[in-house]
Amino acid sequence: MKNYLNNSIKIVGMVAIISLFSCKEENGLAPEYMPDMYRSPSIETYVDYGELRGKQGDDSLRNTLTARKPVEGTIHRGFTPYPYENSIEGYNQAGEFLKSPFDYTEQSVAKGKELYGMFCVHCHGGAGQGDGSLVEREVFPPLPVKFTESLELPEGKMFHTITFGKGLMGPHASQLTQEERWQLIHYIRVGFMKKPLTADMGQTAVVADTNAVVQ
Amino acid sequence: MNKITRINSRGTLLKLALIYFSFLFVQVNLSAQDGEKLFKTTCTACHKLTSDRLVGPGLAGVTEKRSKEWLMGFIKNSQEMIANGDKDAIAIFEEYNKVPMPAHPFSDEELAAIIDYIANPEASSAKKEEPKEAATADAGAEVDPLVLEGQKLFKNNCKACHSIGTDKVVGPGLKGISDKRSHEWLVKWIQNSADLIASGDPDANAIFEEYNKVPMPAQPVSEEDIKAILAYIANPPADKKTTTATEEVVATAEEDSSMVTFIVLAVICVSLLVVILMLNKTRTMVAKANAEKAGVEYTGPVSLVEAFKYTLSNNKGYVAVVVVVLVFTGLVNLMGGAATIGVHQGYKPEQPIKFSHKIHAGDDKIDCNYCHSSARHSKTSGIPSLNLCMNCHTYINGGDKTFLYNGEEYPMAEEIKKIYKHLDYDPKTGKYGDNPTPVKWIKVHNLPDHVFFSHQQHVTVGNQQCQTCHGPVEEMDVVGQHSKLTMGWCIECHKGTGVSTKDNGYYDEMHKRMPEEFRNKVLEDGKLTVDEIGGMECAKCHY
Repeated sequence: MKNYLNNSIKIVGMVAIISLFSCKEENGLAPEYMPDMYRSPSIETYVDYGELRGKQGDDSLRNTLTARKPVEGTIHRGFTPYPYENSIEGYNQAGEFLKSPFDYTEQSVAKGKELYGMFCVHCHGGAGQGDGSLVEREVFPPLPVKFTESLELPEGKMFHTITFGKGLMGPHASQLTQEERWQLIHYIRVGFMKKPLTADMGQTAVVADTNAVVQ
Repeated sequence: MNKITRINSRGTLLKLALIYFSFLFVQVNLSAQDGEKLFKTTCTACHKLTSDRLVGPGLAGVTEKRSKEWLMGFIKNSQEMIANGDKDAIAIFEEYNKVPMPAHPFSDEELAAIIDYIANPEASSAKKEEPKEAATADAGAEVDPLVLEGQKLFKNNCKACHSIGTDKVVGPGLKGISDKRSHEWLVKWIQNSADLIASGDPDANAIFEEYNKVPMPAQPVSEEDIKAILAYIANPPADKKTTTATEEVVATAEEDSSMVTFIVLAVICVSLLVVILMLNKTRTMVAKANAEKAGVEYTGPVSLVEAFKYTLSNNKGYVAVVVVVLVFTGLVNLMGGAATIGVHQGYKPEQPIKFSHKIHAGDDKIDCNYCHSSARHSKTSGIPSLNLCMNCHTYINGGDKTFLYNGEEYPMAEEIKKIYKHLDYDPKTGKYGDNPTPVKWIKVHNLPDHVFFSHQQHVTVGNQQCQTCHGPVEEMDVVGQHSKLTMGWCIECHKGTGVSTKDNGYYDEMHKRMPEEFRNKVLEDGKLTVDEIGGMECAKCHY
């Protein structure tokens, strides 16, 4: 009888101890069971080298960056080299010679509108009057540029500005692909500067062609 | 008519315009205060009043370095000066990589006002006449005592009939009233509106008519008081600080009370234990005495443990019930615990730079995609590199503002300085050094290696809002993991979520090629859901 009692006490104790382990760790990070199911042996984005499978515990690898700059001179697929340099001469040249390689279509304008809401609206404002939420909250000064009908700004200069920045505006090339930059310009020109959709943009004036943007 | 058509050369038109504008401004006496206004709307985009460089040079002490005439000429048309061979102008042009300062067609009076303001910015803010100006200058900094006084006065004298918004209460809402009416008019109206109406003032009579000829009672307030009230209306202080303060008090109070409960419980436990020990001792003594009296030797339990075992073995029924209950609760607990293995819901690490999503995404209303721009194009949503911070933080340096992070208040400038330090950026010269270091951000959302997830698929094709999975990030100052990110959680969403195939050539083609029978089955309910296009296949995510 005593044996039976002792055993049952031990079982209860064990269960209690095991259930204690199910408690969360600090910061809410949960325990891991069989880390080889969680950690990748290959290098994953933003993961410390010291966290890779088989490398855990190797402190010499800790704090090694996995986010690296691409090798110098590499370009991503679909990239077209940009010939104008980041200077006032480049700005003027872009204004004179650079034209949108993509046709102005309803699709490109719609896509531009979506992008404008993501990348521009907090400074340039919903109506392009330079009164976005940042300006409204007085954390940013009022913008000198207002996208109005009377604004004479060639599309090349606009592209150059988005790419390299101008004045207080920073470069946005790392956030927007070249095509997206053009779509933005299409929207700003058609939506705010009231340029006709098929006007003389340096390219052939076209009727909306659905495949143009895809190509 | 003929004359006008003949004036077609640009130069003449420009001159005419200039003359016209100078006429406009000659009569207006511009003070340094207007200079401040002009400076803030025109110059702050490129210049600071300190010696820090922004786009152009910092302007502290520029009025001592250059003559007034030189400055006026440079602002009006710097390129002309450069072309004319002005040495200083050319030196600046060279220093700033030949990026010229754009020409600003100000009148001489305006230029003088701006230069006066640059020469002595404090003087202008000290002699501010209009309370509104005072308010804008002090925005973000400490609340002007004038505004505080106005708040008190407003509460006591005006609030019964007016709101400081646009809402009509009894009388009209007062938002922007200082822009609508002159200060003198407002003083007269507040002190004795009936007089003003009687004097035949058109504005006063219009309001009187609009409000059904119910006059506003004359208020016994001095001109100084009115000034304070108007300052308050123009810029009511945000009561953010007071609320956060109370929140903090509540939080600490909660913490205190839980600590107190713990201590009380511990004390009770210890005293109970002492009582049990003492009782056991008494019991043994009594039992021993009884045995002695009866003339037998005491063989029963002596120590507490022995007594415990003795009791248990005499109450087997109870013991069995307790054991069964304990085993089962333990098992249930164990299962619950096992289900949390690898589930980091609620994981909320403090980051090396105290970046508040609440400020950036919530208050500033910056779209998630602005910083996490690769979410639309790639598997990971992307932690932005520091060049992106600098798109705004070349200008925004935090000043003396503070912000809340994880319930504690921190100075903004300190955190922004960390960006500068990592970039090896000197805000004084606006130049980057050659020793940048990466920020060791802590990754919050981690998926196990055996599952594939792509942001692009969900954001670009699926049109999912970030908040669907990440929760209200715009309300979190420290970002934590909102959802479970378990397979059950994924499947739940995949089961019923519709897929929009509009303008998506891929789906048009796919549906065209489908066997008709299958197509009808899938599109039976008129809705295409994720599970119908393979969202429940194992190999969709596990391969």
